Amino acid sequence: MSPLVQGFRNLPLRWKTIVSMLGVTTISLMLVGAGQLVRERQGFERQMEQRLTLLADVIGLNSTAALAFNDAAAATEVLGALASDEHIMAGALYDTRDLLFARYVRSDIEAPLLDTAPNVGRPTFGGGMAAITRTVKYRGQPVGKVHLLADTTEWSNTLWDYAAVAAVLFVVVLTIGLFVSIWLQRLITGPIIDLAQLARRIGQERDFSRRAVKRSDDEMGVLVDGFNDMLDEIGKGRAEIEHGRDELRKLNEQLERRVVERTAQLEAANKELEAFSYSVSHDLRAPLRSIDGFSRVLLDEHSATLNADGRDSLERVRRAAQRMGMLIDDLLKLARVTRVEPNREEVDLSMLGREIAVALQNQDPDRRAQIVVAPGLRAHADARLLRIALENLLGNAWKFTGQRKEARIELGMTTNSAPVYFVRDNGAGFDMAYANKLFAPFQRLHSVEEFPGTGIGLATVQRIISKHGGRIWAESAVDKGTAFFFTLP
Amino acid sequence: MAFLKKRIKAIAGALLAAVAWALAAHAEAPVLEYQVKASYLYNFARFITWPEDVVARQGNFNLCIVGAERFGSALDALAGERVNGQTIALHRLEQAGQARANRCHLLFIASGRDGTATGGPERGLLTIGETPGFLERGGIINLVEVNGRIRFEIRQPAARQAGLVVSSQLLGLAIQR
Repeated sequence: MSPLVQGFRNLPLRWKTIVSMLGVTTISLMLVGAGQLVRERQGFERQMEQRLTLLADVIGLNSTAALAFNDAAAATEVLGALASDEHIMAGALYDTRDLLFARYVRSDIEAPLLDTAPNVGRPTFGGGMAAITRTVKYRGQPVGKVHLLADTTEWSNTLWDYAAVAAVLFVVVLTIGLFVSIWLQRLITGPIIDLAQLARRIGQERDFSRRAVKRSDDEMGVLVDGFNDMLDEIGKGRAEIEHGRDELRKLNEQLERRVVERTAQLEAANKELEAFSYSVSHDLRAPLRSIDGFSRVLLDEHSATLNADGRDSLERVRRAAQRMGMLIDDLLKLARVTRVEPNREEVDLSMLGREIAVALQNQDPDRRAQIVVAPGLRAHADARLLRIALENLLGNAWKFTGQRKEARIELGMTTNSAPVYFVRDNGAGFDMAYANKLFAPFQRLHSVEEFPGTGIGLATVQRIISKHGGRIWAESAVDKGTAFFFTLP
Repeated sequence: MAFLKKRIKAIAGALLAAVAWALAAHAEAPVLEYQVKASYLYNFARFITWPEDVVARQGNFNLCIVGAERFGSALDALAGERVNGQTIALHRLEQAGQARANRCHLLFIASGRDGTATGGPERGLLTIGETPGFLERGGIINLVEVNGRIRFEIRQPAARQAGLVVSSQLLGLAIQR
C-alpha cells in the first residue's frame, strides 16, 4: 500500500471528508478545464481554417487574370492586400508549373516560402504557424496555386489568458469548496466525531451515565440510539455487578467475623479443656501415687496378715493404679503435644527409627521381630515430637505383631510428588470400616486383654503430624497387617 | 474530364513556358512573341463574356486571324481547345472584312493588315490588334510592347458596344490610358 493511501486511512474523519470533497472538486475542475481547453483549441483551429481558406480563395480569385496573363506585378499587388490581416505572415502565388510567381511577406519577419508550390490540402498547424495551399481556378480550370502562412502564436496568448482565468476560477472554486466541505463535514462527520469523543471520554472516566445527543433521524440517529441503548445496558449490568459485589463483600465480612468469633470461642474452649485436663491429670496423680504407694506398703509390710484373696485384691488395686498412671501420663503427653509449637530442624529419621527399634528390642529381649529401617530418611521437623510419633507408631507395630512368629516391621518412604513416610507391619490389622475411629483419643479397636494400651497414642501421633501441617492415614485389613502413612511438608 | 483537365494544364503550361522564354529573348525570336500572343488570345477568350444570344447561335468558338503566318505553329495548339464550353475553330483570313462571313467571335488583325478594319464595333465580335492607333480606328483590344513585355490596352466603351463583358480583373491588368 502506498504511504499516501496509508496516510489518508489514518487521517481523522473530519479531514478525510474535506480532502475527499476537495479532491473530487479538483478532479472535476481539471477535467472540465481540460475539456474546455480542447474545445477552445478545436474552435480556434476551425476558425483559423475557415479564415485561411476564405482568404486563400479570395486572393486566388483576384489573381486569376494576373496568373493567366503572367502579370507578376498585378499578382503582387493583389497579395499586398494581405497586409491588412496582421495574422497573415506571408502569401505566395505559384503558376501552373508550381513555380513561385508572386510573394508577400509581412515587413517585420522572414517567412519561409518555398520556390515550388506545397501540396494542396487542408490547413496544417505547427511551429506557431498555420499553412494552407489552394488551387486557383478560373471557370473550373486551374490557373495556379495560392499559399498562405498565418501566425498562430495568438493561440498561446489565448492559452495563457485561458490558464489565468482557469487558475483564478480554480482558486475561487476551491475556496468556496473548502468552506462548503467544512460546512458539510460538520453536518456529516460532526455527530460521528461527537460520538467518538463521548466514547473516548466514557472509556477514560468510566462514567456510564453519559448519553449521546441525537440530532438526526438518519443512520447517525440509529447509531446514537444504539450507542445509548448499549450504555443503558452497560450501566444496568455494572449496577448489578456493583450490587452483587457489595452483597458478597458483606457476606464475606459476616463470614469472616463469624469465623473469627468461632475460632476465638473454640480456642478459648480448647484452652479451657487443655488446662482442665492437664490440671485434672496432674491433680489425679497425687492421690494415685498415694493409692499405689500405700498398696505397696500394705503388700510389703503386711502381706503376712493378708490372705491370698486380700493379696490378690491389693495386686489388682496396684495394677489398676499403675494403669491409671500410664493413662494420666499419656494424657499429659497429649496435652503437652497440643500446647507445644514444633521447632523444626533437620532430623535423621533413619537413626531415630533404629534407636527406637533397639529400645523396643531391649524392653522385650525374648521377642523375635525383624525391624527394617530404610537408610537416609530425612525430614525437616521437630525432633522431639517426631520421636514421640515414631515411638508410638513403631511401638504399635511391635505390639500388634506380638502374636506373629515372623514379625516384620518396616520404616520407609515412598516418593510421589512429596515424600510419604510409612510404618508397615504384618501384625493383627484392623477392619477398615473403623478407620475413622483410629485417631480419636480413648478409641480402641482391640480389647485391653488382647493388646494393652491407653488409646491415646495414635491421637498424639495425629496431633504431632498435623502440627507439622502433614497428614496421616492408614491402610489395613484384619490379619493382613497395617501400614501408616504420613507426610511432613 | 480528368483527361481534359490534364490537356488544358499541359497546354497552359506550354504557353506559359513560351511566355517565359519570350520575356527572356523575344527580340531574337519573333515566333516566341507570337506564341505569347497566341496564349493571350486564348486567355482573352476566357476572361471576356460574349452575349448569350451569340453564344447560343453558334456551335464553335470561331477564332479568326488575319496574318496567321506570323504565328507559325503556335496557333495549332489552340485549335480544338474549349473555351466557355465551346470548341475553338481556327479561321485564317486574308482580310478583316471576311469576319462576318466566318461568324468570327474573335478577330486578330496583325500589324500592317488593319487597313481593312470595319471602323466600328460589331456585336459579338472581339477585335484585337497590334498596331498603334488600332483602338482609335474602332478596335477593342490592342497589344503593345512595354519594357520588353507584351501588354494590352482595352477600349471599354467599344467592348460594351459590341455586347462584350470584360472581366474587371482583365481591365485591371490593361494599360491605363
